[in-house]
Amino acid sequence: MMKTSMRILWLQIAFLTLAPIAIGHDSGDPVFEAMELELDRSMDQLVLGGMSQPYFLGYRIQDSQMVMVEARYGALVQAESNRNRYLYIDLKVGAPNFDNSGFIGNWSDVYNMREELPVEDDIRSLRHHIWLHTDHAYKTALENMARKQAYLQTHPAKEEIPDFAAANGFVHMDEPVGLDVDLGLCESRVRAAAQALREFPGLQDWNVRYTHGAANNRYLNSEGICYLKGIQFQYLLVAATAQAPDGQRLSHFLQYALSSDDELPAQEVLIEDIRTMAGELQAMIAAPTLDEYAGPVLFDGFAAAQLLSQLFVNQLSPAREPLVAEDWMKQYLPDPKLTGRLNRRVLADFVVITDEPSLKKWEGRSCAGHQKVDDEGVRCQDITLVKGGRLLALPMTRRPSKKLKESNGHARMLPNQMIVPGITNLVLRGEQTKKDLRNELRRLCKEFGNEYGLLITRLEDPEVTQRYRRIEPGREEQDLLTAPVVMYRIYAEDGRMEPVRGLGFDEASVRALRDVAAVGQDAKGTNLRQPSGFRGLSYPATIITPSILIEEMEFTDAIVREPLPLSGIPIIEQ
Amino acid sequence: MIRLKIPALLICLFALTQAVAQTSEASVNLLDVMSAELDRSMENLAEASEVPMYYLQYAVTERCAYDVSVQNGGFREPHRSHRRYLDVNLRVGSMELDNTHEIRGGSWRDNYAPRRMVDFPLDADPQSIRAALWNETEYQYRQAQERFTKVLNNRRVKVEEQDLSNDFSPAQPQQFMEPVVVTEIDAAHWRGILERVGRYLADVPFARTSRASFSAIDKITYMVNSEGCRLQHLNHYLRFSFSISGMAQDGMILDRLQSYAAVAVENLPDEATVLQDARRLVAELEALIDAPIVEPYIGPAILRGRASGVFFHEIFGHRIESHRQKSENEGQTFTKKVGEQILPEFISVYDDATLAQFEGTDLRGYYKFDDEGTLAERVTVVEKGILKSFLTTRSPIENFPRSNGHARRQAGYSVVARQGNLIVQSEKSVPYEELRALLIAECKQQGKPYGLIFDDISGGFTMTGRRGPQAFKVKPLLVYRVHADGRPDEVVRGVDIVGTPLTSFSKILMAARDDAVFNGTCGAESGGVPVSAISPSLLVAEIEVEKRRKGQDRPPILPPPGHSGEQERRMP
Repeated sequence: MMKTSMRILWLQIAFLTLAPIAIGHDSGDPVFEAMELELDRSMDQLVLGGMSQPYFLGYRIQDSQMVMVEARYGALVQAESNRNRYLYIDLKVGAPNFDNSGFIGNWSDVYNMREELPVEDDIRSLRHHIWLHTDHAYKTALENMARKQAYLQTHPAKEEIPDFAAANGFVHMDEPVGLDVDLGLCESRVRAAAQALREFPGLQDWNVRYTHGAANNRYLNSEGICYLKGIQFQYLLVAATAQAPDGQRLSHFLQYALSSDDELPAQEVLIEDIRTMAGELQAMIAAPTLDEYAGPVLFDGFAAAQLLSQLFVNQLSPAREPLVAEDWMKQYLPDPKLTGRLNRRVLADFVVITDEPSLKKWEGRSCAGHQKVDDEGVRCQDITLVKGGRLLALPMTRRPSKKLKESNGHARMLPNQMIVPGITNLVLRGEQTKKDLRNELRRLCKEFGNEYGLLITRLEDPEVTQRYRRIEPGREEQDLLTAPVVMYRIYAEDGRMEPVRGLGFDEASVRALRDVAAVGQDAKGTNLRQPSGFRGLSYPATIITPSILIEEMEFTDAIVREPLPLSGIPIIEQ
Repeated sequence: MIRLKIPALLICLFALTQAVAQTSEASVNLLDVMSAELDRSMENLAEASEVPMYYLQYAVTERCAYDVSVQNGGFREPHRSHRRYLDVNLRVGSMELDNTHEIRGGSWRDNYAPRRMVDFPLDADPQSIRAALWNETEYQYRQAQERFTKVLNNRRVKVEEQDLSNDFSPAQPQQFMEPVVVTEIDAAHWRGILERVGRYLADVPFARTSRASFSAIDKITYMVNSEGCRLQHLNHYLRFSFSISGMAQDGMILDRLQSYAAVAVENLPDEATVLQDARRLVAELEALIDAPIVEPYIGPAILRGRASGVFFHEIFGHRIESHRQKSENEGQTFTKKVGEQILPEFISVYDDATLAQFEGTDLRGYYKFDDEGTLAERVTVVEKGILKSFLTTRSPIENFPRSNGHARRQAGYSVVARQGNLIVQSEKSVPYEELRALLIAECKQQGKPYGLIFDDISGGFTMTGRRGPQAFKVKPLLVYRVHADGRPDEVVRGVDIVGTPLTSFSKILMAARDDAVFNGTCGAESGGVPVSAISPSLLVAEIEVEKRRKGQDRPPILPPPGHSGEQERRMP
């Protein structure tokens, strides 16, 4: 346990080196002051007779402001702003070798862990909230410890792995960020973006949603680790849906995820991008269908990032799964397919994948994953995940696994303030690259005797798909890869390209990554919301990758038919 | 299961005014656009399938809200929202049998769809408005056709229903255009009161949590239907409330709450009243924390006015909603009792949604038109103890073929019959002090050592279906034990009122002359709707109480920050 005096020393060091704001007692930051006072009091005095005291206590307070503007069809349906402050408490009893963490006894251990605080900087009120929830967290930790011990009596562990890894104290202070948004301008841009889609017959519904936010995340723990991270983000999603003549619904989207103070593209560029998207959707609903396919597939542009996000990153964490009291709960928890393959071949041997939190910009754009300190206050490290095709490392938090004992600074905070190991800026490089992967695709087709190969430029986004679909799909939720939205066949003979639809992946598995035949020289950086494996919870990250050609994948008929409208949309009729 | 609860606190600011003002200019236009698209939909869809679409209704609920609160002495960010939601109600088949007909023998989901929130344009943009209407109409049309097929099949497979009434009844198309009147609020004034009350409560040494809040909601309803209905009408809901909770040594969390509802700012209480009530609440909580627990008990009791209103809302009011007489899944407590004595002959019950105020208090259950566009009516439900009528919608029930304007819903739900302002009246009454004396006399007559006075009730729930027992539970917040031997009254805790309706109603002995209003929000199949219940205090010969479920946590280990003696309590 580190008492106030030690922490103050750390803070003083921080002021000397970074000195953006003062924190702690007499520092003028009432939030840190409230955190520190209650942290000291709790570490000194919080104990239930005959029970153990906390050996670790961490407070995370997230203070966020957000503006949300949404238009549907061309009119605003929402234009609001809000500000919230939430507290998350990480309290551990026992000892680092065995504590109350890593055990899920019920849903509140996963989803309902944070508490709303007043946004007013009233120290006494903040302390009252922190006091009450620390008391609750302590009692819950004692109970969880007992439950975990009982569970292990009937489910003995194969081996003893420590629950919590040591970390050096680290203080990081950003300038607090604020939000300066011209709401009227946002409204007019969003409205105009939605109205641009009126030109496209066949579209049935469309939305443009813009979110601009700023968050100040404060952290303080009993080891003296302390940070203030100021984060700014913008997210613009343009989504549209249409139906093919056979009833298949296709929902296309365009997204801009910006971090730092990057700006959205100029309105003319944005409108042009939207028109391109709408044109693609129109082409897709008019495209012929395929019933099945097996052969080479080229993932280009955004789809290459989606492929990595879903088939690689999503299968990387957590390195160590929690103990779960009830088996049925496991279906709602991440089930990574790659974590057990450390030091084994998982990708083609010419592929190198790194995760580089130090990467600030890519081609002039800020990387969403850039950070110096992770959300547990540990210094971020650039890591090589894959080299020579072998999986060499995993993103790690302070929860050790059997093979990886220490954090590498990859603790990411989810919207519910839960910490998971995750990527920051993932970079895929090929030690051998090909300039023209379309020609390579044609060459492979000829080799396999295929008349054509597939080019995919966009996979479905589950949020967009669910928003517009009107009947439930069959098995989609369990698939590792979402279905293609924009897909073309490229003929081996002459390179002709035509849109096709109707296919979904036939049980895509991580083994497909071993069949990467080539990667291009056209690396693009994509900021996106990386799914965490916990339903509906994601975090900002960047994936930088060239186009990826996979030697063979199998597809099957995935058309879900919905009834067609009986009348035309009035916008088009007029 | 139906729940009644006091809504969270709300506050309005001038921002609200702006929001409403922006839309008022476009409101007339909105009805025109809705009508035009409704006509087009009827033209395109009425005969588009083998089963005709015979009725179409578009309703847009516009909600402008502002709220701000103080929690444990610190302000949360004031929040403003302005949204519109679309509800499309569409019927295929005929009035005799349509897609809304009950499907019997399956799950409750066959008959109650989950809430469907459809975003609707805020801009006066006819193209977008019509596109949104078109999209939802197409969806609801498919849903209606699919459900009608299930209805037909269900009818063939199952035995004949007991109530053979039609699924829909004719109604006079209403046309009404209410000008949009904005709520104007002095934000600084209310923030000041919130600050003083909120911090006073937060400074109470035994307060575990405290909260004070103020909110304002302007709700504007726009409705057109295929019969010619054309409505634009408003409701304003203002609320100032505060609460404080503490914990007894045995882990029981105890709450006290004060809430004031109004439709206009000037009808909310002044600061002196608020602070006086806050001090009373603190004193009551202090007494509750040290109060003894009551063991399960059956004996005489008084339900004070507001508590009695909640009691009637839960136990009686939900059982006179028309769909519960028709549904084969319902317990149908009163379905066959029209014309029979169901309450003591000195008790009459009305539901009067046309009543905007009662003795100077604004009523949350007031509305002009229901959510099927029917004019609200005063309904005599019980006269001199005899059941006369039910609260009806346009879905008729046996012997009650027409709506009396009680179809209600929260945006996104399907309508069912709901209460508005439930009013209990007694022809036999005494001053309250005399009622208390009668309670003691009743205790002595029954040989009971004490009776109970239920002073305040948070809400409760009742089970009206056949699958569960026909039972209710009401959750008192403040209960006094009145000793028959003359010892002083004492605050007690830890009990809920339980029982079954028919038995409970037969035990009412006397009423006081102290009508009181309970304003709250009722949650049921069609979502949360504002309601009021008005009743005098009632002496009941026998009320059963059972132990309340309580938390098992120990009180906080450390004292609250700032209460270690170093800070003085701040008094307002």
